Amino acid sequence: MEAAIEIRNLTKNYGKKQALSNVSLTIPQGMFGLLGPNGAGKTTLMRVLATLLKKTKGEITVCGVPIENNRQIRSMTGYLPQEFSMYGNMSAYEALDYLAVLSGMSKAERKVKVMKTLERVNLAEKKRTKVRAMSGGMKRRLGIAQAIIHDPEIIIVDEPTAGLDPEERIRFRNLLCEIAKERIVLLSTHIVGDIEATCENIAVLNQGKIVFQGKVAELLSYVEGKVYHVEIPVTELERVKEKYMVTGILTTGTSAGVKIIADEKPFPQARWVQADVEDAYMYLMHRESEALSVYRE
Amino acid sequence: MFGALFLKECKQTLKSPVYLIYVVVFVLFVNSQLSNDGWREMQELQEPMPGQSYYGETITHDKALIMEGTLANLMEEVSHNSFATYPLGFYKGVNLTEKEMERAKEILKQCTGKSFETLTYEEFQGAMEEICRLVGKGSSYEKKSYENRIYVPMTYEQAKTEYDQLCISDRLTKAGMRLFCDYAGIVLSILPIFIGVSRGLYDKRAKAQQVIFSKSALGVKVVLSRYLANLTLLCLPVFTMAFYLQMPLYEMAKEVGVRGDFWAFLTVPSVWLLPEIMAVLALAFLITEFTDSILAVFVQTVWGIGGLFGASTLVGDFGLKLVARWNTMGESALFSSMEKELFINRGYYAAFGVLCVLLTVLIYERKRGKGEKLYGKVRETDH
Repeated sequence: MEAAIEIRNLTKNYGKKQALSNVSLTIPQGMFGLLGPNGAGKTTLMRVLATLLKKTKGEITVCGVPIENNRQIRSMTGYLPQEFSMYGNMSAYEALDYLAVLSGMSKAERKVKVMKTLERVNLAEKKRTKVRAMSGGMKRRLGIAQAIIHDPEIIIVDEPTAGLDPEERIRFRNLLCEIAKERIVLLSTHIVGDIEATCENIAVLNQGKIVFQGKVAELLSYVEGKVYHVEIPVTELERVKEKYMVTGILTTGTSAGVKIIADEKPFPQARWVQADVEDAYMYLMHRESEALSVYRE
Repeated sequence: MFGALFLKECKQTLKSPVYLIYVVVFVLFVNSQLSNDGWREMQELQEPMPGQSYYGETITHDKALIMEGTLANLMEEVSHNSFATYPLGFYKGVNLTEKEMERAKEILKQCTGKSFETLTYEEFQGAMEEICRLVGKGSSYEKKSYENRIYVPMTYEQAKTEYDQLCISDRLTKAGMRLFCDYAGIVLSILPIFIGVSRGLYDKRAKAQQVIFSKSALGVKVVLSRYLANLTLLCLPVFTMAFYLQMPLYEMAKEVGVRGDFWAFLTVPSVWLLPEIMAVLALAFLITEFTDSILAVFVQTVWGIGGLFGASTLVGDFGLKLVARWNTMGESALFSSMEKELFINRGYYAAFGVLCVLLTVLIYERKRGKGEKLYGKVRETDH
């Protein structure tokens, strides 16, 4: 079976509003990051792939199976929605067991796998904790547990780290990387750091369109040699921000260290620095919005 | 898988405070109603003996008495120009215009100006039909109403026949269970709504809808396991109370030498109450799944109360009313004559319940592929 998600010319309309427009994407095995600002259409794409929304146009196959085969797709997919929760009066064990039943697992399978999966997501000791008493991080871990318990080929996680503290976020990212071996894990986020730390392949979605698809290194190449650091007086900040694309400011007293993306050296004293994914993403989004404004004019 | 899901749903319902309230309200209501005189009389049943001063009352089918009682009621309402009607189950006082009053008085005069020997029943029926046209629907002058509401004291012979029927055809316990079903049916036209609405909204309230939708379980399994679990648990206190209330009757039957029907606590409520619970719960599931709101509480409460007051008599007149009333102990012969009507009524509600569940499954599956919402705008944050 072909271990990839193939999306061809996918369009999704909500009435007159177009949430996804002619999206074509190939998602191979491993961690795949879907990056984009809020409202870009990431959740819509995730829900279409999880068979929770019907596409308006286009074709999608998941490991060779057309998306229209809802039941088959659901049995091979694990989905962690943006706002995951379960019945508050259930314990972690009960909630996972309940969702495992809904995934079609037998009693014998559940007996082994529920506990094993809780151990895997580090919730074994909290198996009796009620869902209503869980922290945000614990809930996400329970969420990922229910997404992987039936050994799906594809795991779809929508903004999994939003609202988590830095420690929980790193732990969660590591967990995702672990389970991505021999699977397709589609991670949607607007937090660039999550993608940088976990994904080799990414796509950037903006206003319902794919504006970039490729490897992280390719995205970085967009800003190679274009990122500079310069120390300027604080009084100059506003003028610099108006003229250049500023991706970082560190103010110390009367001077400020500014990270700038520019095609040419912006100041004589500016020094070239290593670009990161955030710089590349900002550059890409800036370029897209400029292109859009030219188109509108 | 279905069995495991059913058991888990039962466990969820048992933990729900709404269910606990249901059990408490049901038990208190039925207990309070069945501590009345009729129930006590039943438990102190004695064979009627000749020469007793009072043998109880029964609905009369004597046309002269029906005419007398109905016209007396008409005279009183005409004299006050205030007519009690229950068009949709709720009380509605009707006042006639001057012209209508003149006509009503004329009808009354035509009927009472004659002796009962000369006033034929057909003339009386024609006059009452005209009164109905004046005061509107749901009055005491409708045929099914006046023919089932005039009570007269029983004679020894009637009391003896009633006693014999109670012992032979009803074996005591069946008659007791009919009265139990009458009271239980009232409260069961409303209470299951809350269980259905609560379960219907539970996924959404718990923010578990998306993740449950994404699982491979078929909608029919999900909905049916929830429905059957709730139905089972709704029936649990019903049959328990029926059993508890039947036991003294069963014991008493032994004392008077009658072999009581031990299984009446299961058979009578199964026919009488189960279809009602099925219909009320299923409609609550359907409306809640369709609207994602508590609308069912309002709609179905009106329906339940309407069904309760819609009957022209408290004994029989089943028609297609949700609440089947039998507010009497015994009347076995009358019940036998109406049993078929009851079966048709209950069959209708059982079928209605099944239909509502099937529609709920369809809506569930449709929502699953449409992103929670069947209608309305998608919020900006949704994409």
